[in-house]
Parts: sequence; C-alpha cells; structure tokens
Amino acid sequence: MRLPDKGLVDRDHVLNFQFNGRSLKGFSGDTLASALLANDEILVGRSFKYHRPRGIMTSGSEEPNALVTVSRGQSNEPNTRATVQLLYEGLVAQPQNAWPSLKFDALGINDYLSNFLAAGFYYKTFMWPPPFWEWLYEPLIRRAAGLGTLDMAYDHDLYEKAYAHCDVLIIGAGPSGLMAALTVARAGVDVILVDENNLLGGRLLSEVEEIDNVPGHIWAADVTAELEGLSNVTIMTNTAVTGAYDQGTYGALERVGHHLSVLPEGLPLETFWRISARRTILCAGALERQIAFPNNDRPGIMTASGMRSYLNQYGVSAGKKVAIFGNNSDAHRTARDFANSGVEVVAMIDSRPGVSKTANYPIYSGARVVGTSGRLGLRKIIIEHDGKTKALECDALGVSGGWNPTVHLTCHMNGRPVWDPKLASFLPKEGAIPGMMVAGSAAGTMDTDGVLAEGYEVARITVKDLGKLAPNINLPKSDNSPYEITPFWDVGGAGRAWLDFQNDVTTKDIKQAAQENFRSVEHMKRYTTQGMATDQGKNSNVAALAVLADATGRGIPETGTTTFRPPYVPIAMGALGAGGSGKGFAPERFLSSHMATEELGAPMIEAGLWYRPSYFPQIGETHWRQSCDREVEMVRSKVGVCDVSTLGKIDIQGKDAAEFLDLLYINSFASLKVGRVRYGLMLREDGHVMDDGTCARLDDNHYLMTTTTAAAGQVMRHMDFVHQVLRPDLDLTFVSVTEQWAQFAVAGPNSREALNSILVNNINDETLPYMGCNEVQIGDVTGRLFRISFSGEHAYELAVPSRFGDSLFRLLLEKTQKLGGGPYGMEALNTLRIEKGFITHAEIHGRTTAFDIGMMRMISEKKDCIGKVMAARPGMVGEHREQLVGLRPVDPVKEIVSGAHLFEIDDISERKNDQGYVTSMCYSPSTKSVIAQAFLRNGRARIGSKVKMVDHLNGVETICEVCNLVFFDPDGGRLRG
Amino acid sequence: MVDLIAVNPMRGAISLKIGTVAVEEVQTSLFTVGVHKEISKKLLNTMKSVTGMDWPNVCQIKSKDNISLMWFDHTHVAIMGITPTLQLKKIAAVTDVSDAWLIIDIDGIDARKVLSRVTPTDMREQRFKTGMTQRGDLMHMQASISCIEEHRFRIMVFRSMAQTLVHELTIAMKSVAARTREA
Repeated sequence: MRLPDKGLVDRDHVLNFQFNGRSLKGFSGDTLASALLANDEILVGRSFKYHRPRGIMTSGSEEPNALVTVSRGQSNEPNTRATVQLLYEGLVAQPQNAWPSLKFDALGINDYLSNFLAAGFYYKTFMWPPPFWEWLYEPLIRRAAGLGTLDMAYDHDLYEKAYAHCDVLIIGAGPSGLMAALTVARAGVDVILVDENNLLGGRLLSEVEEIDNVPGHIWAADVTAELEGLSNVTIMTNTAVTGAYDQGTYGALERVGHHLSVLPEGLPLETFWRISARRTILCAGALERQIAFPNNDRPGIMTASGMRSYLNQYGVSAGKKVAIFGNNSDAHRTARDFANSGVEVVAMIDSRPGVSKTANYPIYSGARVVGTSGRLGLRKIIIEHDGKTKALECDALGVSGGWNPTVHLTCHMNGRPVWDPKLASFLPKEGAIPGMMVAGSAAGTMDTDGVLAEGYEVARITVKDLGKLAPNINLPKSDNSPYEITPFWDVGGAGRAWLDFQNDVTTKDIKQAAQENFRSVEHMKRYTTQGMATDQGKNSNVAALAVLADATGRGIPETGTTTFRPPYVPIAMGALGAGGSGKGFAPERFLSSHMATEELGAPMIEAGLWYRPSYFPQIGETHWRQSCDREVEMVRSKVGVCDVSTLGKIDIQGKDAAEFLDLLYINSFASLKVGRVRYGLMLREDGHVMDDGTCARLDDNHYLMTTTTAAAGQVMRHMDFVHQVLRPDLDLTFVSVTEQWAQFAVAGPNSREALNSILVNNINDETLPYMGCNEVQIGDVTGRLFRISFSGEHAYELAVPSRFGDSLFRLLLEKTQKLGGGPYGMEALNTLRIEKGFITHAEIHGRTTAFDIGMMRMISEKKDCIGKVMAARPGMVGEHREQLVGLRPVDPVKEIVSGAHLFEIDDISERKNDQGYVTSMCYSPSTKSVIAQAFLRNGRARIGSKVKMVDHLNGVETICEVCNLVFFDPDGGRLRG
Repeated sequence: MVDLIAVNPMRGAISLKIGTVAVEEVQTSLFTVGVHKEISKKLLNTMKSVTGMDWPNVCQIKSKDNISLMWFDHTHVAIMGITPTLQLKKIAAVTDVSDAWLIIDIDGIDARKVLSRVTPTDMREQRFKTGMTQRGDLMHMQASISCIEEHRFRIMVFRSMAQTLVHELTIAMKSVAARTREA
C-alpha cells in the first residue's frame, strides 16, 4: 500500500500500467516492483521448479523472484526484473512460468511431489531407457521448468556497443562512490561515475539518516548537482558494470530505452560499453542476505533492507502488519522506520540473545521464526522465543541475515575473497584487480560515516597515484552506529527452507549433496544448481556454503566460495552482440564494377568480404551451369571480361626491393627484367605454401606484387614481419595499393583486338609479349597493362585508378560484345583455371608444400628464401606425400565431389586406407567431361592408374582415372600465341 | 577517343546530416611518401620545400594552404591536396593512393560521441586533440582517424567499404541524435 507523504516519487505524475491483465496506477519514479507493491500485488510469479507462489524479495538488480515479461509493441522482453524496470505510461507486464493462471498454476503439483524432486533427482531418475531422454524426458522437463519464454519473432529492438575512456572509473554512486567522485573530480581528474539506478545516492535514497544535518538523499542530490556541473565528470545512470577484464577494461550495460513507452527512431534499448580506465574505485556497496527457515519463500517475505527501500524511497509499505527477523543491528532500522511511518510492527525478532532496546513495538531477543503460513501471500508467522512458540499475524516479513559486501567484480580475474569472521562475510582481496581499489560497504565498512571517510581516502590515494594533487575536503558528518552481527544461517526444523529462491534450492538439497559426497563447494553447486540462476547466487551463496560447511564439519573459510564470473547482471544477447547483426555481421566490400554487374542481373558470391559476380545469366538460361558453360566457351572462342580487382596489390620500392623479394619468393625476382612479370610462390617459415601470384618489375627499384584475394592481408603482415624483424637492414618500403586500381582480366583469342579498340597506342607481340607489362593510355587516363593469364588464353589484365573502374568495365563490355564476347563470373573463372591446372587456395590451403603441388623445382638453388630449409625436411618431400594430380571419371556421366576422399579400387573405403582427397572440380565444356584436381599419395607416379572416389556424406562412389593436371592446351600455345 | 568517366564510390558524393553531426565526402589527392631506410635531412628539406611544412611527428596531422601532411604509419607520411614533385619522388617512395581510400569529414558538436560508437580509439577532447591522427579499427574496417578541428574529424577507410562506413555511421549518428533529443 502507498503511504501518504513519503518517498521520492513524483505524485503529481500518475502513470497507468498493466500487470497480469489488470490496469493499475503508479507514479513517476516508481519501479515496476514498487508500483506493484503499492497496488497490493504481492503475488508476482511462480518459482522455477516447484512452481511455488512468489513475491518481490529485494529492491535491486539481485532480485530472484520478481521476473516478468514486459511487452512493448511487437516485442516481448522475458525475465525482466521488476525491481530495475522503471515504470512508464502504458507499461504492460505479464507473470511467467504459470499456467493457466498465476493464482492457480497446474504445475504447482510439483510442490506436492517435492519429496521425489530433490537435488539430483533427474540424474538418477531419467537414466532409463536411454532413448527416452531425448524425445520424452528432456522436452517434458524443459516444458515444466523454466523462466520466461523467448519471442521467436525477429528482434527489431536496437542494441548498441560503445567505448568510453577515463582516468578513474567509480563503480557505484552510494555514499562512498559519491564522496570518491567528488574528491577525484575536484582534483581535475577525468572520471566516469557509474550506477545501476536512475538516481545517484545508493542506500542514501532508502534510509532515514542525515549527512551534515540534511537528509541523505538531499546530500546525494547536492553532490550530484556539483558533479553534473563539472566538465571532467561523466555520470552514467541505469548502467551496471558487468565485468572486469585485463588492462583496466570493464564491460558495462546501460539500459537506455527500457523506461520509455515508445523508443524514438535510432535509440537503442541497451548499450554495451567497453570502459577503459587507468584506475578504478569499486563502491558497489553490499547486498543483504536471507536466513533459512521453514517456508521462508512465501510472497510477502522480503529482505529487511528491500522493505525499507520501498518504504523510504517509494513511500510504499509491503504490508499492513509487518514483522522483522534479523541477526544484526541493521534489521532494527526497518522496524524503526515502519513504526515511525505509522505501520503496525507486530514483532522485531532478533536471533541474538540479550538485545535490549526500547521501542513502541515488541522486540523478541534470542528468538527465531520457525514457520509461516499463507498460500498466495503471508498470513502468519510462528516464532520461537524463550522455549515457547507463538503465532503472529502479519502480511509482510522483512528478513536480514546480514550484509555481503559486493565483491563480485574483484573476483573476475581469479581473485578469491577473504572471509572476515567479525563481519561474517567475504571481503575483497587486496590487489585482486590491477588498478582497482575498494571503498565503503564493498570493503566491509558498514556505517555511513566510515563509508564517506573511506570513499574520500581511497580517492585521495588514487588521485596521488595518478600524479595529481588530492584536494582537501571537510568530511561530512553522519551516522556512525556500529554494525553488530552474530552469524545465524539456518533455523533448522521440519519443512523446507529456501536458500536459492530462483532455482528452488533448499537447505535439504545442500545437506543431501554433502551426504552424497559432493562436499566441494563447486561440486555442490553443480549438483544442486545452487547459485546458477540469473541472480548468480547473490542472495544465497554465502548462506548455502555456511550450510555446506556445517554439513561437512568444516569452517566457512575452508569451504570457500564458488567463482564469481562475469556478467554481474544478466545481459541480453542482443547487447553482447551489438553491432554484429545485419551488415555489422557481414560488412561488404564492393568492386567499382558492382553497380554495372548488378544491372546485368549477376548473382553475387562472397569472397572474403568482397561481393563478386558468380555468373551473368542471359535470357533463357535457367541454371547456373548453362551460364557458366557459355561463358567458358565464350572466353575460349572469343573474349571475356572479368573484374579481378580483389587481388591484393602491394607496391614495393627501394634499392633492396629485389633482394627482399628473393627472400620472400622461392624463385628469383632479382633476375626479372624491367617491364616483365613473373609468377611466384612464397612459403611460410614452416615450409608450407603461403600464397602465390605474379610480380611485375615496373622499374629497377620498383615492383608491383599481386597476391590472392584471400591472402592479401596475410601477405602484407608477413612482409611487415620480414622487413621489420628479419631484414630491417634492407632499404625498401612498401604500401598496399589493392584498392587504388580497378583491374580487369580481358581473356580470349580476341582480347588484344578488344583492347586495341580502347588504347591510345595499339599493342602487339613486340610491344607487349607474353608476361610483359606496360603503362598504357585509355583516353586521358594512364593505366597499367599486364599480359598474364589465369584462363590459359591469350589474355591481359588492365588496371586503371578505381574511380574509372565503372566506366572502363562498361566500355570493355561494349567492345567485347561487338567481338562476340562479354562478362564472365567466378564460376567460369574457376572452370577455366581447373582446365589449365592452375591452383587457388583450395589447393594451397595451408597444409601443402611446393613439392605437393609440383613446384619443388621452382625453389631456386642459387639463393635462400623463407621456408626453404623447412620445406626440404624428410617429411615434407617423398612418395608418402599427397601430390596434386588431375582426375576424371572413367564413366563420363559420373560425378566427382570436392572434399571426397580417394581409395584404391579394391580397398574398403575407410580412414586407414585413405589415399587422398579432391580439392576442386568442375564440368569442363572444353573437354566435355567432369574434371577435378586432387591430392593423391605419390600421385604423380600414378598417372594413368585408377582410384576410387568416395563421398561418404552423400553416398557417391566414382571410379576415376588419375591424369595430368593440365586438361586443356597442355603445351600453352594459346597462352603465348 | 575513349573518355573514361570518374565516379566516386557511391556514385554520388556522400553527404549526410543527422542531429548535430554532418558527414561530407572529401575530394582530394592522396599520396603516400615511403621512407626507404631513414628520414634523411635531404628528405626533410625537400618535404618542407614541396609542402611548406615540416615532416609530421608520430600521430600528427598538419595543414597549410589546403595541403595536409599526415603521419600514416612507421614508414609512411600521407600528403593530401597536391601532387608531389619529381624532386620528392627521387628520394622517397611516392605512391598515388587517391583512389584507394574513401575520405570523409565528420563534423559536429556530437562527432566524438558518434565515433565512440564505432571505434575503440580514445575520443576524449583532452586525448584526441586537434592535429592528432591515429590508425585503428572503425567497426570492421581499418581506418585512419584524424582530428582536424575540435569537433571535426577526417576518416579514411578502404574505398570498397564506402557503403559499410555510411551504414555504420548512420546507425551511430541516429543513436546519438535520439539520445540528445531524449536528454
């Protein structure tokens, strides 16, 4: 219920919302959770396993119970924590994991079967018969258990990634965080202050206490106003730091659009930040834990601090008659605040004996809650005091088992927290995250006065560490009441007592795990699923390991904790993968001829990021093979044009360029004459083939290397390594010019005629012989012409600056079409090269050597080159190697499949008999047969023999003849002619 | 007489304005000057006489009379705005890369916020000052990013990725504009 005149919500701004089909009202500043409580909506969901009725338990991001699905337009966001969802006009939320209704859930039957559903039951129960697991048990269990349901429709919401940098990152804007931020900011240091809530202040917003004689939330607002006015301060609200990573990098999730009825165009729902910080101050505060007692999970049972937050920040009482149960001094604040707000406090139950306080409500010292009742909401608690039990009517119970410092981020780089027996909590290990210091409650300081002082002191150390002058600030005065606690984890007794509310893990489950010898905390966790829900055990881990420690007869420090890993709060996959959908997943590189190619209706094939034409269909062609075959025949008989700009191009200049190239390539380039081009092969340092291509000598000290499309980046990186590390003494420099030049292959018997129709100066065999290169003029434009061929035909590659690529491509199409030619795509290019026995990265795939591909003799004996020695190792040459050969089916109608394996005809087609594999295949219009390239053991010596090709995946078996790699024009007459 | 027509990567000059940020394509010549073995005194003097400016320091960009000199990598400086003379070509490896890169300027009070969404580079004013240049990632692209005025940046990516660049910048610009409106 809402109390008059309390809280920080804006009562002039009423917001309408729906929950479970009912129309309700809240105020601006409410969370969905506070608004539900204000409307007496105590029951908000059902538990994971037993489908127990559940209510709101906390007021923060650690909430285990109040998970709802929020609908916005067409999209549904499951597992939204009502405690962090800000209310907005028109919000629509639905409960989860309940059918047919929240009040009557059919699977609530699980609760009555709980004796059979204890931890590990499914490991033991669903073992037989084995096939039943996949088609019966697992689907059944998945249907019965679970949280929200993913919307199967495409997610239209925007998610964003972004980067931020700062000198000091302060995580958490409670009293210590604000004090630290103020100190760091006044020192002029660049600071980012991050908080998960929409308002800064942390617990100050939830408490009735003063700082420097003003209410805590007013002090927080004043500090916030000062920070907002400083240019060196960035405040990020609604942002949770999710992980700590190497070198001062932190992940942070900002909830950008979750509080808006309608997302404006372009606004993301969430932004995932990578924050890079020189220093970090962790002021993440502490989280209150529960005490285990029978039926402690009824709606209306909350953390005492959560109850206090709803009262003081939102003006909402969780019930009309409230009781508090705690083991520490802090719990009494809740009783005090409720009593002062006019809400009936039926009991303050303190497990510590000898607590004497004067209050206008009953205080039971040395007492405990031993039972509760109320199916859909708390009605009654049973307490044990002075050896007697007593029933008390109440509809809300606040529980405080003490505070756990929020050490999670300090553990993300394998730091283990340290047990503090006085606080009965784990504290962060010093230096666990390089560059990070911890202050305030996160470091175990629980009183506001101490927290402020610590925030100030840690900030001063940080500022000095950065070489700046730390400012002197008069520390504000505030409450310094000590935090007193006597550990009390488990009331015991009959009935189930919950630890992990989200995964339905009880004390009985932990004890059973110990009994079955899952004594290690990590084993216990996996056996019971304790701490494996979306709250990652924030509410339950410490209590669970205390119960485990008790069950195994060890202390808590010896028992240890499980490992806290990122993320600290759940992150939508959309946010983690932000920037990686659509074109962000598949960025595009377009050729200068792209538009003209699209106009011709060519389907595109992706080569790396490049989009290249697969083939150019003509009217009447209904299958790609028809187009491909026509294009091959066109090149062989007339002329074809193909954009080959994707090949890597590296401009190399310097007086030692030739020596450098001789080191890179297996063959010599020092001997290459100016105006000539040579094919070259380069090896990796381990002797395997890295790449191949041509290299032209443009001038005495000027070369132009081409690489394959796939290896352009790799070769450039390799060259940088060789120059900078192996031969820095060489006088040369190189730069990528891949994109400077639009380059087109013009191939076929009519290629020279086509080119002469556009060149200012005609070419002939004398001016441009085979493997020659020249500068040429096309109108006013200077280009480069290379007489090289990847098709086996009389062919050229003509390059012009990329801005002219579109125009030149269209011009070449026009000229070649007049000669009976036209464009050809990747399919035809591949067929042409297989017919000629040329290789691509299908053959030089990283595991093959120059010997394997038949180019051993290209390795010059007169010079050294990278990979030469390693390529000559005994294992790298010899009969045992799989060598590149040609294949054709004995029966011409049979198929050959790329990737299929080769066997002796009489051998069983199994791994140990493997003789090799097919790398490339095509139908060859020129030879009227299917042809292929394959690696075959001792292949070159087996030419003329027959092998069996088996494609185990598709069940294809073909007897093939091993033949020469070159199927067409083996003497190269067409190439040179 | 054949007449080849020059077209820019998207067939029309890139021009985009969303919120406070505008993107304009820059039409300029671009040459890299590669250092053979060391930056000789002769090279320094020639560069000065050709461009009117001293050789740039690491991560420095400078401009004078519509000519820009930009550190490009450990062995290269880029010249924009003029065609280097034969004199420079004799003592350094001069390469025309005018068509290899798409050059845009992104300008506006929120330009740094936009760039913070596409590059991990530290875009803070006190870190990325006017006259500074960096090579780094821009989403999936290798980019050159230079601050030429307080809120104006020169971005260079491979020419083939023009569409991808515009796509990514548009998303970031819309996001920043939407946030500004919400604020």
